[in-house]
Amino acid sequence: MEVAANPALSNAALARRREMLLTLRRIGLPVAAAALFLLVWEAGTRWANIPEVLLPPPSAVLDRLVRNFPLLMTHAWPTIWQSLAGFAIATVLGIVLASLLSASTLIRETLYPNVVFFQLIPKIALAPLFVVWFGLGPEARLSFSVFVSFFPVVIATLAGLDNVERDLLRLCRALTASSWQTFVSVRLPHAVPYIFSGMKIASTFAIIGVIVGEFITSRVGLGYLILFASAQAETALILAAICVLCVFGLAFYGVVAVAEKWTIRIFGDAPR
Amino acid sequence: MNEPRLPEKTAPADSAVPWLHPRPIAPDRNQAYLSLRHARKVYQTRSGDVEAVGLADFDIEAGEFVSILGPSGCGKSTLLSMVGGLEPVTEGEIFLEGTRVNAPRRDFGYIFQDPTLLPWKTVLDNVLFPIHTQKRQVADYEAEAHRLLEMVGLADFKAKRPRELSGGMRQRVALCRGLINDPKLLLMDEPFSALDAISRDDMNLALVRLWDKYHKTALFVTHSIREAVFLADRVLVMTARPSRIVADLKLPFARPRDVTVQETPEFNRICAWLREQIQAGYGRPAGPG
Amino acid sequence: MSIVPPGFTRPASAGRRRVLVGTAAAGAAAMLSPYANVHAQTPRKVSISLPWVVNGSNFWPVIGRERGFFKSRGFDVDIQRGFGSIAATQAVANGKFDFGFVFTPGIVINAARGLMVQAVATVGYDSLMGVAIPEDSPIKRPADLEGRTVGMVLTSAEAPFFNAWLDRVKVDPKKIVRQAMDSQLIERSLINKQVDAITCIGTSSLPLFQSLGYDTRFMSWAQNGLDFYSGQVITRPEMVEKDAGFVQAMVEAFIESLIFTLRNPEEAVEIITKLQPEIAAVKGGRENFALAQAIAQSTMVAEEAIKNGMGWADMKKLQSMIDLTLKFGVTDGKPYTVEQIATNRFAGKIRLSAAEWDGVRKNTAGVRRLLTT
Repeated sequence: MEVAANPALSNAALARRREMLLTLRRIGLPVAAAALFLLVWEAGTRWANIPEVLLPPPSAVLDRLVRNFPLLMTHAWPTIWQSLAGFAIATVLGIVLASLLSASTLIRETLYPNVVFFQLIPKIALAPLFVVWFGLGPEARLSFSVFVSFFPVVIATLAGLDNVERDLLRLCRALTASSWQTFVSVRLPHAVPYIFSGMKIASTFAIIGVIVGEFITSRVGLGYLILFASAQAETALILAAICVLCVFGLAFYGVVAVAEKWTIRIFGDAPR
Repeated sequence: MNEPRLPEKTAPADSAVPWLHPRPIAPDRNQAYLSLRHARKVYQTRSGDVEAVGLADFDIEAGEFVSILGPSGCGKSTLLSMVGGLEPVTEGEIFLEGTRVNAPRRDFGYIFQDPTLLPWKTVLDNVLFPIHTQKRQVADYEAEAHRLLEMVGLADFKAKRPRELSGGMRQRVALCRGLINDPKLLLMDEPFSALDAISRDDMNLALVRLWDKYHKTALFVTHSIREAVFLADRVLVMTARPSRIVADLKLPFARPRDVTVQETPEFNRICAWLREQIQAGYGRPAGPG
Repeated sequence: MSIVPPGFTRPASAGRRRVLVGTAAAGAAAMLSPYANVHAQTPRKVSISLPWVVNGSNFWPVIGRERGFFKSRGFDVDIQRGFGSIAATQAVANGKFDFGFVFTPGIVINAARGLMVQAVATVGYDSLMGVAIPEDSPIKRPADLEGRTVGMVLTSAEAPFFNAWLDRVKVDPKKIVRQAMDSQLIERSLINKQVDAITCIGTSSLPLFQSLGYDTRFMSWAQNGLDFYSGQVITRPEMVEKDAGFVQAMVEAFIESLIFTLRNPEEAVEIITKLQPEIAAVKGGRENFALAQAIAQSTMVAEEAIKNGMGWADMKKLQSMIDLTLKFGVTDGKPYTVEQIATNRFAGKIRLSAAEWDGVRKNTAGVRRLLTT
């Protein structure tokens, strides 16, 4: 219809418009769903007269968020830097471990079943022990965060290092490349998108690790604030702290996800 | 020992044509450029030994382009791997210029069925990959890389990444990569079999054009009869079960070679004869010949 | 479902006499309860939340269930663990449980947020909030805590009142480093000298130190006028208004359960360890449990109960707890009256004899030592 009415509109312009509408839809639909959810929540709590301490309406949470913003930020900072540090250490550790596992059959046969077994441990249950081992300082939370988040990196990196086309490895052999050369110039670059997909999972695990660590022991941090607020039956403050945590988690995950997309474009196919 | 000779009775009617005569092995084989002497490959499996390459006993001259033609499973790729030093021989020996080949060599070129390009490197860097890997001076080879890419029509794609290229173009990059170190022997393992028919014809032509100017000793593994004949100076026919070389044929077509050669009766007759050899191979009873 | 016979009132004297003569057999109780007669055929399902996992200070309702004190009144009770008094109070207010046995701070703090429950019986008269320090610690007085690290479980009932205590003892709260600790680790952090002192509820931490053979001193906050009640039985306000007969019968079942454990502390521990063998499975677990019960029972010997009968609360004292909470315990709390959270309407119907009180005193005499500096 539109084409008939406006012959000047080229096919390319139409395609661009369709693309734009699609993007709008991709962003708009989930946002609208979230908005509707919040609206129902707000209306529901008001209509049913639910006490704020049981379930505060979103507006009350927002109010807390705004009024206690400096307080929230004071507590957010330690959580954020520890999550980022835990994540970074977990990533390096994961890549190194996966590299070792893929480098030698002997190492893999010796360690891999143990690594998998390690993974089966209900890690949250071990959190208190980290305090016993590492004390009450940030080391305990950092090491726990690394502990819960490094495994996805190991598995993803290993998959990336192993999934190199056989012919490509034959080529390296045919070119008389050393295994170190093959690792550096073929295996590792090939694993980059895989590593990032592992890092995506690790980013959320790292935050969970720090928060659980803060639940176990802390002097400051969003986990501390959540406990403090729950001791005071300050449900709105709990949710406001969780809100800050979500925004950080989302941004963190988003950055890693975008980086992953970029590495897929550069380094080849996505790990499926 | 089975000698790889043309059976007289299956020769075409006009056996006066010189290319159909069996090619004798020179008395002094040490003079040969590439020499396979009773090379054999046996895999040990749980259900007993499996003969992957039954017997390979032939010489190749310098500058000769040889197609190894056979059905899938006849061991032609394994044979190529053995020549390239990627697979140890179970029995026999392989020599290049009198030196025994038992490991990969820096002066070989390899092209596989898949282009096996590195997606994160540009076309030019992919071509130069062997130079980097073999720690040669990149500067010495850059001009050569540009020349090769121009020769296969990829002058405008040097800075592109493989994913921006079509399948045929990628395989051309692989071709350039195989040639970048000026190899003494180019080994091609069904390099065009993953391409569609049109790209494949295209690639055949590109390869022939390359060979018009650029003589290299080459082993080309394929299961396409027309491709084998069109590209090569000589065709070896392999059969499966048992894995044997059953025919060894010098082709009469001159270079520079043109597509029109495929229309000649000679070309078609050779193809027909080769097809017969392959089909006869299917009919053979299994077991040692 | 409120089927209370018209003009129904609980014959208090009968109850009192029954307890006085000490014939608290389940069958007798059933016969004495008109409520139970009405419901004899179809037991009414009643859910109860404890403040935390079953421990020596809160397990007595379970004993009541095992001994049939609820069943004899026509109640089929389902007793569940809780996740702290704050959450347990919220669960009762939200209708997830009909009754709760929770600690007073959970009630007054939620009420400051506008969430009201009714305390229908008070069973512990000292929350035993305090600071525990190692026996050999250089900390002798509250002022010595300045510059020290104090471990605390933030969600524990005493934590919100730490500031109130510091105010009473004139210590600057800013000069104390607070280390939040998980409840599993709080005692160990003191033993490992990771912290210099901990705040705690005497019934939870002191038995644990004892069972680990670790000697501590205890600065009780009650000495400084911070005398909070501890355990109270709660239900929703509308239950009190609309189903008073039911609440009355439940309160009596609760009290009867409590009295059984006061009279037979050893048998009570015996019953619970049979029911939950894991209690005795850990080293010193059974002793720990018995000690916690003794400490909790020592807080039940109070003027309120002795003079006015079991379950009775001093509304003046409760009011001061509310005032303290609003001033120190929570930020931005809403003021409210004591009547909104507690009633003596169902309490004081059952009494212990002087001899029985003496018995309780004798049973718990050993624990007094633990509760001093």
